[in-house]
Amino acid sequence: MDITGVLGAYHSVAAAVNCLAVWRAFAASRWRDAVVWALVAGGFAVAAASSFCGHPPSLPEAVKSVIDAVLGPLAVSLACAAFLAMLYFARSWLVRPAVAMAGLDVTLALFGGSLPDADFAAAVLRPDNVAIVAMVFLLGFFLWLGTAQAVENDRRLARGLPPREREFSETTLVWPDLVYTELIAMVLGTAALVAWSLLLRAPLEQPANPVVTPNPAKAPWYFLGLQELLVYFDPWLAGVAVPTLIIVGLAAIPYLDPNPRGSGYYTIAERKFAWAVFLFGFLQLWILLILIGTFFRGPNWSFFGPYEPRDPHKLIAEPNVKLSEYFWRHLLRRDPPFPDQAAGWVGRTAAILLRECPGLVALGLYFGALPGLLGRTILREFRRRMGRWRFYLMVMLLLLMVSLPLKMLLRWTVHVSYIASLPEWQLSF
Amino acid sequence: MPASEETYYNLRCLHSVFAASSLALLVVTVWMIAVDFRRPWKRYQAVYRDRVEPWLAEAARLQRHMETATERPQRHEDQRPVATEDPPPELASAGLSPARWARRLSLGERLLRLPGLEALARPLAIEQLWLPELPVDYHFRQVGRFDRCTTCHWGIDRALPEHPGQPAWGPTVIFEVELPESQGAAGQVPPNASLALSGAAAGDPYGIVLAPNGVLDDGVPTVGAIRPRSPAAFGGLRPGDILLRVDRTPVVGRDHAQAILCNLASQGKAARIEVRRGLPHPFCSHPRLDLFVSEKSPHPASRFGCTVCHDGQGSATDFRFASHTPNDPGQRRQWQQHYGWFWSEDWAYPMRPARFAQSNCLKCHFDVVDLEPGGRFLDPPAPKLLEGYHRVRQLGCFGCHEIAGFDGAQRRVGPDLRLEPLYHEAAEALLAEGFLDSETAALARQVVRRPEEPEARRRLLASLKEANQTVEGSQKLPNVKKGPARAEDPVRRARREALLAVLENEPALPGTMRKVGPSLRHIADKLDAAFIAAFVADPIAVRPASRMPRLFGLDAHLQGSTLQQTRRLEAAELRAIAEFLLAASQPMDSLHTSPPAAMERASADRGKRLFQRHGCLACHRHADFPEGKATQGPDLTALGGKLRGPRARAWLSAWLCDPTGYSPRTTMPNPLLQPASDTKMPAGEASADPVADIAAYLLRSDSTASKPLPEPTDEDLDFLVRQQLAKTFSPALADAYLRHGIPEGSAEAAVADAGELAGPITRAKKLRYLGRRAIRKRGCYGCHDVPGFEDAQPIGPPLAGWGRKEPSLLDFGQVHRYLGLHRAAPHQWAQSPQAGQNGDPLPAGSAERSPVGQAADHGFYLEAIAAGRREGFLWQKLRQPRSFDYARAENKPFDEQLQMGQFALSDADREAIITFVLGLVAEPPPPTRLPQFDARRRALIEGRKVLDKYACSACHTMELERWTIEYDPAKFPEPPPVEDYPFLKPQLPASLLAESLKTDVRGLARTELVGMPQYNAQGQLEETEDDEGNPAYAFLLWEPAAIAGKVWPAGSAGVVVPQKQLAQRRPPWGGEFARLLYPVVLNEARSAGVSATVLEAWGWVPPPLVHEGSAVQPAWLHDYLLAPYVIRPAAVLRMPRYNLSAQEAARLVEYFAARSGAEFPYASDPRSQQARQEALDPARLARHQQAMRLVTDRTTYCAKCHLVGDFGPGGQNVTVLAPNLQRVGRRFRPEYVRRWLANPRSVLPYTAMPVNFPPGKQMGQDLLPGTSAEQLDAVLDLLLDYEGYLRSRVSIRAMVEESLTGGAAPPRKPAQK
Repeated sequence: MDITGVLGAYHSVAAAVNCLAVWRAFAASRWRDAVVWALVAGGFAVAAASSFCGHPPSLPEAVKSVIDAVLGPLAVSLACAAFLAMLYFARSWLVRPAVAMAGLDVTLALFGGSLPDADFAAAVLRPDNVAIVAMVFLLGFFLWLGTAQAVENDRRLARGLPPREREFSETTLVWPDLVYTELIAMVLGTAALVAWSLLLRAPLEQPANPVVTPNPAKAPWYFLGLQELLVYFDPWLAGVAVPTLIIVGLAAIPYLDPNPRGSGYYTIAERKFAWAVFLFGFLQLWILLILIGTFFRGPNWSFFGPYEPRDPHKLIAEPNVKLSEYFWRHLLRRDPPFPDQAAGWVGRTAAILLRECPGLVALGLYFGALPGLLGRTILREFRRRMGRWRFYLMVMLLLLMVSLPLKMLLRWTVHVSYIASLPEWQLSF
Repeated sequence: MPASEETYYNLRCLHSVFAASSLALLVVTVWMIAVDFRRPWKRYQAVYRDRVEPWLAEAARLQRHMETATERPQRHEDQRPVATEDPPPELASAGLSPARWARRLSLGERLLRLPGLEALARPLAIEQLWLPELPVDYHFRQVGRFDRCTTCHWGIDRALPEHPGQPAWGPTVIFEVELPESQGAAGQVPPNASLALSGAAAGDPYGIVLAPNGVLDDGVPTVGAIRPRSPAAFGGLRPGDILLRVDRTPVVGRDHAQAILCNLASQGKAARIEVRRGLPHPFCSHPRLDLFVSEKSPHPASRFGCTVCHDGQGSATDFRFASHTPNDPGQRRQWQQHYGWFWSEDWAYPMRPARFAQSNCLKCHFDVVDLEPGGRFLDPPAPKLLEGYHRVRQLGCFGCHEIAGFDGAQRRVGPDLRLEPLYHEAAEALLAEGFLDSETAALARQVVRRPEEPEARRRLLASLKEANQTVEGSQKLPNVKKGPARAEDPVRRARREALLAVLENEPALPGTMRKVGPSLRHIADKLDAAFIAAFVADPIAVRPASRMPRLFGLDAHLQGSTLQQTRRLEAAELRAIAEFLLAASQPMDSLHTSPPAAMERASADRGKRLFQRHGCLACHRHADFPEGKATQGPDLTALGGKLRGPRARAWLSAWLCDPTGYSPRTTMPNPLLQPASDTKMPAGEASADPVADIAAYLLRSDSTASKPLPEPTDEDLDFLVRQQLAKTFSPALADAYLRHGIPEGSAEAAVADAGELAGPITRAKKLRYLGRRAIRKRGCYGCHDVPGFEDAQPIGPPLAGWGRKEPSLLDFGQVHRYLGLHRAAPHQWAQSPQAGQNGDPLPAGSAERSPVGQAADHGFYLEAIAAGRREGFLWQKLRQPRSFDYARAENKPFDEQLQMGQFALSDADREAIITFVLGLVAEPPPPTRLPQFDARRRALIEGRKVLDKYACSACHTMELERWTIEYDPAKFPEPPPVEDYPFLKPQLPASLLAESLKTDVRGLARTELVGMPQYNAQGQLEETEDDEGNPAYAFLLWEPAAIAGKVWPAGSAGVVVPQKQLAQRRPPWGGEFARLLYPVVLNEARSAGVSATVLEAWGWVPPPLVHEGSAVQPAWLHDYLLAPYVIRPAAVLRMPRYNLSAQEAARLVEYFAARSGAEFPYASDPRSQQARQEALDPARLARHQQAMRLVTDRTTYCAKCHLVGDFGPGGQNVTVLAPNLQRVGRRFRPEYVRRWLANPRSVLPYTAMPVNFPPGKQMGQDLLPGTSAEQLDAVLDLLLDYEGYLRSRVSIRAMVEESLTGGAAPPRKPAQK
């Protein structure tokens, strides 16, 4: 596929965006900024011209191979966590327009520099995946917008002013404001959909073959997060229990949230806990898993770097070991107890439980002892404000949520497949 | 009206946003309409309708017009040609005005073709073939097929005007023609075609009428019509051809071309013209319209659609989505540029690339041989597929990979190539291993000889079961030890049960293929260990023409320690296999019967002569006779290096005496070499033993001794034995057995296939055990009869349905890395800088390690491997089967590495086999769409398989040569006058005679001659001269031909075909050996002083069998095939006795009857039946008596050459001797004998037999008064009745003597009974 034209258009748009920044800087008489954005816009313009001439600028192969080599689920997750931490601690710096603009420029440049790579383009420009790419940019924009407004509100609140949202009238006119904008949105939406369908033909795939599993077999994009969990958990946990708990947890939020503030306006300072939990759950545990599933998972559900060919025969050594194996074989240097068929129901159960005792104990401590401990130590204030049952419900949900990344971390670092492996009852965790 | 004037948003701003977004919506809507309007199929249809079709019609009209204008002067030659007014004014004005050569659209039509408006009137539409009867398999759901291919391929069924089989437009090809000078071309241009007509003076130089515009482009100089009998007509130009260069000058336009041509023509020079013919896809027509697409063909598109044969997504109307598959990287690149082609993975059945277009023929043509050329279709419909089928058949792929043609009991799904049930092997094993008493042994021998007949086998089985029960019963009683002690041994017991199971298994539809390799059951009598090991290690190195695959030493994909280990262990295995085979070999019964005492010392020189003349070369090759090209049997060069020692030499003699004695299922016939049989031996050699001679000759040549293999070390042996034992036993037990052997009588040996390890262990035992395991692992028994493997299962996956095997289930392993393809994913092909000129997507530096060498055409397959497609998998599997273990063998035990052997195949062979295997789709259409065969066609198909199996066509010509001649009907000589019986008059349909007068644009008519050209003593075409002194060939008609409206009867004096008139030569089918032998025997006879004509010598070599079915009686032929005897004393070799079953003989009989169009199935002629059954009445006898006098008249009639009863025409050269008349009544059909007696040459043109009863002449009135017709009938009756007549006679010889001495003595009264 020849994408030099697409790339040219892409770099042109990037240059135009930077020109907008130049114009705004001019309008605000920030000369230094204007010069910087003008330079960046010039760079993009050169890239666009070069692309149109058939030589799109591309990341050097060395950089690409370094990225391919470094990037793995662990690295991606840590990067995401680091970004979240930065978003919290350096939020007032991050939301400055110049910083945001610089971030956008870096992203655009990286993305544009990657597109000439055929493997990257194949993953990113796949008609199914274009929406996900758009989602990344949209998400970045709205995250920035929300954070910026929250930062501003926090500042206002600190100065004793009402939040920004309260400044405006709480009523909006149906005609012309609402109806008119809705009409415009409809027209634009229709035009965008038509253009989209003309640009990217709908990928109609072959009739399903029940005896052949496509490789990779990917769920629809919005379920890719859950599918990613299948790598780490038993199917019924990842496919049934976790989604149910997510829904229950989300439904329970209004009843669990003791914080009356922050209603109707953006704020971080007043709702630090809720903000952190939400963004962690949404970005780290949902969006990131979707992105991994979409862009990084290839044939055999192997992890591929963004510039790596999707080779179905990629050789990966991933010896995953159960915690019980570590315990019995490596620590005690003996065979784990074997649930003998002859031993009867009780004997078998006992053998299984004995075999998995380290994992079961660890889980017991995590879910049994940790809530109480937390209630007495760092979350004492919450315990006091929420009352016992609300607090324990919240902590249990929170621990469940945290258990997901913990489990993944164990897998990635020490190759623990299951903490408690109970295939006999399909209850592995 | 808003309640207040205040708004949240700025309304002006909203208005402008709204305006902009509306504009955007408008733009995308227009864009949408434009995209729809520009869909390629609309453009194609418009072009075809507006340009191609009117052009074709106008060209045809103009051509017709000119041909009718030319016919006038030809018919009235006395009149002055009216061609001076040429070109007719009508031509100049209307005919060549551009308006008629392309459609002009009316205003309404133009309007209705505008974007958007076209939907209203639909002048163009998607075409669709709806085929609910030929569904597509949507995985567990059959969905009606609808093919829209003709939406773009509009002209797919357009044939040339008046040539319904030829496509109107082929795909474009560029070639050069040379047009003879327009005036001086008298040699070819008939003189009555005036100069004006030939065009030069009329502004149409060389007879080329240029169309006012091209088919697709306006300015291109395109031939619009060809003047009849003009140089252009003789040069073979056609309307629609585009002139690219004239006399090496590139042509820029119509006027330019006209000017150059005129200039050349005025100088009277010959013109060299480079021509582009045909149109690009999708405008061109389908090739072979006589076979496909057109309504009169067997596969009309309306009934079969397109995707049934081609695959691809029929519902698509866009090039990209129809799953077109490029044929090579060059085409792929071109498609990517032109159509934006991409490798779509969204359709399970991508179109077959052109190179595999024939694969899908197998979908319906399960028997494959029905695709052999013949009947209506003399050009092979699917040569590559047939080639693949024959390669698979010859190489015996079905030995390891079952190719089952049936799904369940009755449903036919594809070609059926399965091994026959191995009853004979089981019976031989039972015999050799002492399971049988003398009575059952006789039964077993019967099973060995005729395994296809169930009776003996069932009786054997019944008696064996009975014996089994007594053995078991005796074992249950504690103190009885009557049963044979050996039967208690579990290994033996398991063996006996396995053999019984083989005999018991009776499939409803047994396979029919025999194992392709020689039997190894008695190998110790034939070969020694060193040869076996060396040969198995690398068959090609030892015997270059061997078909055996290479199974060892295929380690190009291995490295480091794995490589070293594999080499060591393979050497041990080789040694073990030889050891096992020799140990398991059973003594051969026939070897030790002493051969007939040769009266003379065996002579290799005599043997060489015999080898050449006795038919060995029909199947075998030998370096001494490089002209022999047969491939049925092995190359016999350097046999002395293989058969070493006196035992092996004795084996060769025994084999030559009776091949079935060694290998009951061999297809080698018994050559029936007997000293007495060869009456043609020159004096003094009659006492020589031909078997000994041939053996001496074959053993004379020796090859370099194979180097001995290293002895395996004990560690390697133990390693392998332990590895094998550990598959069944725990490691500790395996170790114990390795050290001490398995306790004798223990059942564990039987379980582990380890009978050899019983008792105390020795090195030899280990070797034998390993040999058995290695043979089991490598599946040697798929091709060879190996003792001990009568019940073994084939090791390869079955191939039925392989052509639809899901590619993701193919285990490519790391083969793409091995080939250096891992950075060349399909989407990178276009950009990859390495995808250069040679068409290979291989990145630089990738190592090609093929031992076969790299050809230019690998790009397609490498891309297929990179894309994970079946074609690539098969290709690499056939080329380097083990390379799929690359980078994986290190992680596998030695035992689990891939096993497939490497066959020595050329690229073409490989592709042919791939074509065949890809066609195994097991997706049969409903019975209504399958080819419908009547009994005659079925007989032809079944018989053809038998013919192929035994290579009958190596000796016998099955189909004669066909020459197509082109001639001027007015000038062709008349056939020589023949006076003949009315029943011999050839009956040709009037249409055929009329056809032979019809002339084409050059004024030439065409006729096909069937028969034999005349060969000279060197075996080459005899060149003569025609009346004008031009080189010509003589052609002997075997079938009457219609030439220039006259009937030429068969067997008449040869047609003289001038070289120039010979348009096409179709080679004969079969008879290569006869043609090879013909010059040899002719020269030999001549040097011996025998005066035989060039024709007669054909009677000494194997005869053509083209009329066999109409000549002989089925019952006789059947018996003869099973037990041939000498018919023609003059022939230099006799028919060998084939290892045919009675059913196969019957199939051949039916085949011949069906082919000759004889009565089928045959009911015996009442005349011969009557003759045989009824008692002779005296009147009849008297008539016979008179006829007998004719027959026995030695001076003029039959007895001059023929043997008659006990009388032979002695004292003559053997080449003149003719068959014994005694068997005529049983052998021939009466009608045939009648024709034969009346005019032998009309039946067999080369025969030396004269016309004895010329019509209308009175001869031999003293012997049998009457007209020649009456004489003929009397002799015919006598011959048919001969056996009955003989019963009344004592001796013919006496009668002959009498007729000689008594002269015209009155007929003797018949002897009283």
